[in-house]
Amino acid sequence: MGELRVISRPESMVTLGLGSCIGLVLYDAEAKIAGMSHIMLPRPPQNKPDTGLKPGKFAETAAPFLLESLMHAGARRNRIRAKLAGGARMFNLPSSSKTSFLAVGEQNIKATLSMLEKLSLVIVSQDLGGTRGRSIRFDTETWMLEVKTLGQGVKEI
Amino acid sequence: MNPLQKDVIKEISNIGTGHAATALSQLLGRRIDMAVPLVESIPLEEVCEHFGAPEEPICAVLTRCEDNFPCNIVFLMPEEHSARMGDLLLQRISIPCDPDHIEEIRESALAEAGNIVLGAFMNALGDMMHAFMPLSVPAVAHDMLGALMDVLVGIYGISGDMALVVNTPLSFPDDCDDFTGRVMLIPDPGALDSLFVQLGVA
Repeated sequence: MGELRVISRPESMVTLGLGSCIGLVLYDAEAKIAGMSHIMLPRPPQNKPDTGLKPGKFAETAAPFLLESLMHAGARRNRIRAKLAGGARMFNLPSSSKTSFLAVGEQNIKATLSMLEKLSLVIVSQDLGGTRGRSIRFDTETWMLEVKTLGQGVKEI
Repeated sequence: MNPLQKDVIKEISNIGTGHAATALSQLLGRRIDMAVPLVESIPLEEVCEHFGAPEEPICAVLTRCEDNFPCNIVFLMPEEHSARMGDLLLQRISIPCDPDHIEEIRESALAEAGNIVLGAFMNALGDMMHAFMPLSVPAVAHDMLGALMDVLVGIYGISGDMALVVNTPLSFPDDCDDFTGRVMLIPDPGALDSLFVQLGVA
């Protein structure tokens, strides 16, 4: 949660029980490098300096940080692709401005997608929103993201 | 947070969960034991593991209080126990159930139980603070523990990298040894500070 990890082939990465959070994967298939970030919130709190807070926690900081980590590990900017899953609404309460904490999934999706667009990163596949939690695994042999939902089985994107 | 403030939260949780457990006991016609509330500071990434495996199927009933002390109260239990609790509730009210709609009716029974139980929690807290604590309608969710915790841990994540986890385990000593239900209190960011001011322990 809020964590960020970079691996190379043949390792794989897993995040179990993603709810409103987003699992963002960036990879360079040619350099055989991939990274995953478990994004929790759209952005760092306004009233706090972001020093000391984990960059992997927020959509606005996680994507640039993950990109930089990949390039540092030898990936090439123009070959890097993105896959992502998560951002569910786990508790369905009638919406009011004050329940925005519970709608954090939608906010995470919006912030992550707009950050990827800003960084001009190509999204290969995504499985976002809905009301069910997901477990994800990224395979560096096939470059597929496996998404498991309770009671609905597994799919590859 | 100082030791006095920690005690205040513990006591609030104790009184609130006490009333909630009594309400649940009356609803189910079963004896319920309640443990001492736990107030622990845990790094965000460890909160889920603190309660169990991330993929464990869980039922959670959540309600929110918006005024006076903005917070979320959540009743968590293993999925297998939620089905059993739903059945117990339905037996108690002895409404003949249409088998085609048993899932929906059970779901509605769980939501209503959550409403009564978590309402008892907030009423006790309101009495203590001489304030009205209106609750939202309850939301019931069945999913992986990690996915449900994600949302709750996110609320703590707004203010820092640590979560102040306030929870009280419940058990049914007479007929269900392994029941591991618990009531969690998750204040909105900043809500605890104003609570401490109101209670004179700021």
